[in-house]
Amino acid sequence: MTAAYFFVASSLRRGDRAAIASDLVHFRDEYRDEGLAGLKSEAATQIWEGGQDIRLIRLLGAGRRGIFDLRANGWSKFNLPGITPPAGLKPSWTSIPAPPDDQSMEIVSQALPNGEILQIGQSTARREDVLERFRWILAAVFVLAIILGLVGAFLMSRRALSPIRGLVRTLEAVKSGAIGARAPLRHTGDELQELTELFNGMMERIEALVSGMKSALDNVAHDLRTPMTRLRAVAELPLRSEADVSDYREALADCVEESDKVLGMLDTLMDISEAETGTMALSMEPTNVSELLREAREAYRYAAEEKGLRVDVAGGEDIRVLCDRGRMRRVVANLLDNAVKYTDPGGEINLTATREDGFIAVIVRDTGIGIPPQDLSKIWERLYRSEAGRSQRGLGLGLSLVKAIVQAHDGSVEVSSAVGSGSRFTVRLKTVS
Amino acid sequence: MRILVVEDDPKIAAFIGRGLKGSGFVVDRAADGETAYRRLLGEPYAASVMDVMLPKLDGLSLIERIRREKIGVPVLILSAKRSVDDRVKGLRAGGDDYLTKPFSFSELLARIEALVRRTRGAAQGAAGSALLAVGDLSINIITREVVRSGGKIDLPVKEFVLLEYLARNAGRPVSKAMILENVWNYDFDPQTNVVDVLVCRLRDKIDKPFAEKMIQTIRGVGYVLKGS
Repeated sequence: MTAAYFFVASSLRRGDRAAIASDLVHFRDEYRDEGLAGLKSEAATQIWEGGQDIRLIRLLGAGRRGIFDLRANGWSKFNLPGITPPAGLKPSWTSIPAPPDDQSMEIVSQALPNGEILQIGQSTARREDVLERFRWILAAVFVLAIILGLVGAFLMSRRALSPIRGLVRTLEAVKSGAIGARAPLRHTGDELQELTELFNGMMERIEALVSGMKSALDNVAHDLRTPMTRLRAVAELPLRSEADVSDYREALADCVEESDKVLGMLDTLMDISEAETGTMALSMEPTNVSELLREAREAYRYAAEEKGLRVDVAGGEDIRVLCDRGRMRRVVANLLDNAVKYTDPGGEINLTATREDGFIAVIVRDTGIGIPPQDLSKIWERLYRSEAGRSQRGLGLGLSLVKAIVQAHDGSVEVSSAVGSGSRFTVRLKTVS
Repeated sequence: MRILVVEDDPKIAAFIGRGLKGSGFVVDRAADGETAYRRLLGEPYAASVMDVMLPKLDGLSLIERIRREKIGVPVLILSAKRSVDDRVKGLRAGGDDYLTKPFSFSELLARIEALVRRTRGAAQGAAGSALLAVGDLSINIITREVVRSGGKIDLPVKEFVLLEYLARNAGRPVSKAMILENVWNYDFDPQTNVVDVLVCRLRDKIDKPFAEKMIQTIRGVGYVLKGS
């Protein structure tokens, strides 16, 4: 902008000077042609009637003796300061401040062939006016540009940082307990969007963990009440009246058994919680699953025989997979346990391990009483017992633990069943680690 | 034989102490790590039962300290933590065995006796020989031959394993959990009465034909093989 200003200023000055220069030529010629009289009348015309802001015309003779001096109104009073005589024949320019109207005057002096000096002075008032107006406009534009720039920068930075403000606000909400709070996501395709997405993902995980732990604790407290009640009752009864030693022995033995049950339940519940919140530490090792099935059949051989059930393990090549051997042993035991419990005498139980695409499948099939369709989704719940199973021994935790362990392995378990014909549980484990 | 019981809970300490005394040991007690350290430095013990959570000096640090002093007393660690990592930590610190709480006294006793036997050199009693004898029952663990009162008894694999386990612990009750772990490697309780049924089968073979019943049930404790 400054450059523009100087450019305009110097153009205006050049223009003015060019105009005076041509006037000078015009007067010189007039003097040459018409003599002093002609010069005087031309000067008068120009000063009184011309529109050129010419305020002064002077002719100096040898020794600076004034021959002729004509000035515009208001300009006669002041003394022209000494003006350097032009050197040679080229015109020389001088600018002097002129008090009458606070403008400055440009004076051009030209040496004439006869040794006289012709001078013309032009007011720069008009030019100054324009330049002043121009200066004001420039200043206004400059200030406006700065204001716009500041406002623009301010808005832009607010916008850029608003995702961070969003994060800060969300964190404050979380700190005061709102664990479901999430930062607003803006699709700007940059690192801030990525940060927001990661942050929200982390909050999801934290919320899942915290609510998982809360409900695990609630469940444990609830689930333990029944066995603890039994324990207490068994211990209290013989104390209420005189009993003989064998009664006390009985009661104490019951207490020990019930305590063991409570401990077993507690351990299982903790295992389930760990698996559900993803904090179960699995010790993965290559495991011969077919061997696991054979071991389970061995363990339950007599229980099955007592009930007149046939248990067999499908032959074929042994299937191996990477898994937590101890926990998978438990999964197989729980499934077989259920099969034995819920199959009537004369029935059959099949244990199979097969290889599928990307998985191995462990199948426990029985010809038992089956599961009614309305119960199929509920069997995985803790302490769930269907009508048929209510009288059975056990804690009702078997299937929820199976589900928990299988999920901790990132596998899946499903059941298909029909009342009267039996059930089929399929556990799938990934073969690619 | 002298055992040091290091446990700060008085009821549990009393329980362990009384039980060990009843099994023929002399028992000293310490209720915190510093006292235990002084005692272990001062006297030779056949073994020590040590809880990990102790005031003044915790169990694992105590073990590390005594091992640095070259005290080789076998230590049975008691802990409420049951993860594999915690077990390994305990054994690495210098413990010799690890038992999680709550425990059955039978198991504590069996493990203490195993530790004591180890330090006195194996080959004592049932630990080293091929032949286990209890009352009129004789078991050859290599040929898997079982003889009672001169008559040979055929046993399927699992019954044999159970009988061997009972015989090694003859006179001492073993809990259901101990049987599950030693016979089937199960560290959990399958709800179906797997153990009861197996004991029943074993009894059919070992006890039924005879007047004297060697396999006895102690409710709330476990099973025991007793010769007369």
